[in-house]
This record gives sequence, C-alpha cells and structure tokens, in this order.
Amino acid sequence: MMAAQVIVLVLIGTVGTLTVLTRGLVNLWLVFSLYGMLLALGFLLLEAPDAALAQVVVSGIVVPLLLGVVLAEVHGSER
Amino acid sequence: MTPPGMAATRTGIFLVAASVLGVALVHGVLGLPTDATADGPYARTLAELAIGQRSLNTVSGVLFDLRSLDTLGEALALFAAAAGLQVVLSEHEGEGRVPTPRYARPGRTAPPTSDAVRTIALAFVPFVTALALVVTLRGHLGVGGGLQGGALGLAALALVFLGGRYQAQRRLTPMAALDAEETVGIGGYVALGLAGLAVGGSLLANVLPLGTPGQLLSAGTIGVLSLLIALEARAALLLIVIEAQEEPFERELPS
Repeated sequence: MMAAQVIVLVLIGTVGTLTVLTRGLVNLWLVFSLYGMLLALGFLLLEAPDAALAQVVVSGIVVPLLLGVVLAEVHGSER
Repeated sequence: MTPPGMAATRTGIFLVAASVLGVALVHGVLGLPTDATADGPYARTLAELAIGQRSLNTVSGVLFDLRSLDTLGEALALFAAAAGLQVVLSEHEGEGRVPTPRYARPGRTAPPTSDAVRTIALAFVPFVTALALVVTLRGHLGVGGGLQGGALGLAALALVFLGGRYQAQRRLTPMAALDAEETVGIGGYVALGLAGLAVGGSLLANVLPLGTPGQLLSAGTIGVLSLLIALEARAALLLIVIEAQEEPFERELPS
C-alpha cells in the first residue's frame, strides 16, 4: 500500500506540474482531466472513497464536459 | 487589460486577505487534536455520530447532519452559479446570432462522431443511470450521496450528448422540469430544515424516524437531504451545461 501511495503521489506531482506547463487549451483540457483522475486514485489509496468518488464525478465528468462544450465554441477563434 | 494601479490594489487586497486567512488557518490547525488514529478523538466522534444517527456512512452523517447548514450553503452556491450563468448567457430578443458557429466555419474541419463512440456512449447510458440511482439512494449506507449521485445523473445525459444526440438530450431535460427539480431540491432542503427547527428545536435537526442501520429507509433526514441535494445538483449542473451548449450548438440565422 505504501509503495502504491508513493507512486501515485509522485505521479500527482508530475502531472500537476505538467498541467501548469501545458500550453494550448485542448492539451490542457486532456492533461487536467488526467490530473483529476490521479487525484481520485490518490484519495482512494488514502482510504477516502467518498472523496475519491466526488473527485471522479467533478473532475472526470462535470468539469471536462463543461470545458469541452466551451472549447467547441472558443477553440481556434482567436487566431 | 487591467490598468497597473488596479493590479497593485488587487495584489494588496490579496496579500491582506491571504495573511489574515493564513494566520487563522495556522491557529486553527495548531488547535486540532493530533491523534488521527482509529482510537483518536475524531474516530470516536464519528463512531458516536454514526451510532446516534444510524447512518453507516459517516461522511454522509457529517455532510447532512453535523454540518448540514454548510451543505445548504454549498447547494445555494451551486444554485446561484446556475442562476447567474443563465442571466449572463441567456439570449435576449433582437440579439444577433452569428450564422455559422465558429467550429463550422470554412477552414475548420471537425470529424463526425464515429460509430464506435456513438454505440459505446449510448450503450452505457442505462448503466450509468442505474449507478446514479444507486449512489444517490444509498448515500447514508455506503459510498455516495447527493453531489456524487447528481453528477452521475448528469453523466448519463452527457453520454447521450457525446453519442451525438444533442436534441435527444435536450428533450430529456426540458428547462421547465429542471427549474422545478431545482425548486424541489433546494426548497425541500430548506423546508426540512425549518421542520427540524419547529419539531426538534434546531435548524436541520434530524427529526425523522431513525430506523434500523443498514436499511434503505433509515438514518432519518440524512437520506432525504442527500436525495434532495442530488436533485438540486443534477438540475443546477445540467442548467449550467445546457447554457454553455446553447451557444455553439444552436446557432442559426436570425429569423
């Protein structure tokens, strides 16, 4: 369990940094969703299934859906 | 762009707010009991709460009983977000519509949704709907509860949308029904809270019969409040998503 926790924490740190460094809205959309899923995995490994489920639905469903719909309108319009 | 003077003021306000909040946070954290093990004060409090309210899920017990007023505040924030977005983004009479959405303009090609994506998305709709119901109704028994159930309800409709059935998604969620659902959710929560005040002597007191732990009808108001929050969350999130969808997906020539 400890090893899994360490791996996921390192991944969260790495992908979190990647999220900040990513340029381009569509790329950011994908990396941010991955980051949210990793956070959910982290909550699960820390024995907080309720927080993990909330994280999955918010960061895996609501936010990507909303951002995706908005991106469909905005993407490419500022070139 | 923001004028430079404004940016400096903003930074100043942020620094003041951040330092006050930081001091309060450090002070609060230092005052907490450090023993977070299974024998510590937190575990004891949660166990007493679970036994007292007959709710097997201590998280729901905290959200919908111990700090149910906080949950009402969060629900109101969601309600306000949906209402605010509708005010800002709603189309007014005489407002000119762009003939073609930006994504369909010449030079921009969007591939159509593939058959595989359509089939898989639509095939998952019934299962996600069932999962949403289970998560919503069993919030006081196991993992789940209001917000998660409501968001999963949104997920089922998101799959209809991702399966290329935008019109069907809109038909399944008429605006009037969503408005009514929000009213029932947030209004019911407040009404149950006032009932607790009238019967139990405090706002949102757990006044319903507690029943047997583990049964669907148990834990008093916890399960009911969780269900009402699920309705409110689903309706508010859908209203927000639909408001964002209408812009790109419903453009047409001004009539």
